[in-house]
Amino acid sequence: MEARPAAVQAENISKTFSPRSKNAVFALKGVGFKIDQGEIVGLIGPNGAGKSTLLRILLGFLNADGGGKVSILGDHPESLVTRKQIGYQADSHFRSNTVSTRAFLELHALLAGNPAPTEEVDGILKHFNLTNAAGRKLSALSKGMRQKIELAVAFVGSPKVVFLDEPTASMDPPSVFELREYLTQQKAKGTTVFFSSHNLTEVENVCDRVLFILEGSLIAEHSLAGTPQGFLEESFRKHLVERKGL
Amino acid sequence: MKGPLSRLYLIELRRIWTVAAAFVPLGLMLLSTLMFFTSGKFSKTYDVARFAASINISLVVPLASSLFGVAMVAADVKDGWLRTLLIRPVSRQNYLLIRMAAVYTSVVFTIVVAGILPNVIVTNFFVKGDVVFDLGRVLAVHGVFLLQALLIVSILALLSCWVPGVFNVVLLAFWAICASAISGYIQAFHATDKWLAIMKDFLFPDGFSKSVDAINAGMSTPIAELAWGFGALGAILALAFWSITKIQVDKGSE
Repeated sequence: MEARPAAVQAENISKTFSPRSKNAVFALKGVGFKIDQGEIVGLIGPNGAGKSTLLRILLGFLNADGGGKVSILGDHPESLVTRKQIGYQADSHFRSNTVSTRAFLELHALLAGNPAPTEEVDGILKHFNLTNAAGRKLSALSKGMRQKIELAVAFVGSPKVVFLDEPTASMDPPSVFELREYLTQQKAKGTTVFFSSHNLTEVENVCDRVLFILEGSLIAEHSLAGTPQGFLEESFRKHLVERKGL
Repeated sequence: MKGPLSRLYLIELRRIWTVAAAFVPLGLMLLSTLMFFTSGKFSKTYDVARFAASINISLVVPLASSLFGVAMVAADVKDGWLRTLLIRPVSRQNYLLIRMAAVYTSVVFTIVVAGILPNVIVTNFFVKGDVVFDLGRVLAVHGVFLLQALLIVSILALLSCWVPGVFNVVLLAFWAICASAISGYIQAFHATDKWLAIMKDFLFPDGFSKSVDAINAGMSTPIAELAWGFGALGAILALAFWSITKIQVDKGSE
């Protein structure tokens, strides 16, 4: 039987912002990892560790320095075949004072390949408790609501691999519980999820595996199967102490 | 992808047509109506094609294109719209094509409202002197300034791939002003220099605007001017579609 390609594979990813300036920022240094299909993997690290930069490079939105390689489901991240199979929730939220929530979601569903998107969009709006926001313009929504819409967008079209950037950052607790439940359902369906977060409890509750990133380097990875509650916090603290003497 | 892309085109139009955008055709219509009206009232002979050309080429086309084409791509990169689109199976070239089509549609609508309707109304109701209406020339002039609008939209799309915010319009204006100044200098002080005279013609892609002048001057088909216009349009479109594949969709850092 032919082996399934990894959901995400990154090799030797480095990124330097303003490389010729004396204030060059080394955002990522030789990052490499592999995520198998069906896994839920968390990426945790402090602010400025390189989490969002890594996600943007994985998706082809930002160019890595030369030498690195990224593949999603065995293909280039920017190929249209790959794009049909991925979803992404960004940490900055698109606003528009002329486009409604429903129109935005329907556009995404259509682009994802659903020719009759109304039913799918209704289901997603209901699942994320956004039915009341369907007719409202995107710019008229609160930050938390916009984050939920970005999350909903990420799951439109039933993607095989979903990337979430700080999905719970602006959410209220009930929404966090709903997301947890939704991710569990997605896992049962075989969806691969890779998400960055500061919220250790959240990561611990839903992830199979976790990657630690600090100052642009992956410093450790742990499987969370069978680990006691609080393991992640303790482990994270230990890594920070080791690396930074905090 | 016909269905999704047509929906994307409609969404792009919806994004362009904010309440503020409605003032572009309205404002330009007031300005051009005043100009057409003054010309119609005080000219002994009202040449429809000539006034259409002068008011559209000097006012309506550049202003409408600049106002709708400002930060065409750069704004989409900045506010995350391009990122939200490109996560879907939409190629960068398709995005640019649809973005340009939506901007161009808005410009054409503005030209109709502000550059054509006032001329029709003034010609029919307010002209005091004789009206010169040569249908062939009127159609040719309108066709060419619609091409001029497409050229400006293409230049703005190209520049917007590389410069942030409103700088695509600023750069275009700077380019046009510099080209005009250098051209004037060559004309005044080096008119006999053959090479400088040739160079002067290629400082700015003004083939279409020169075609309009040539048509109004009575030339049947200004082949050289049109060839320069189409050549420049093709080259700029090719550069714009190449540029969109090279830009970083997300320039931010964590």
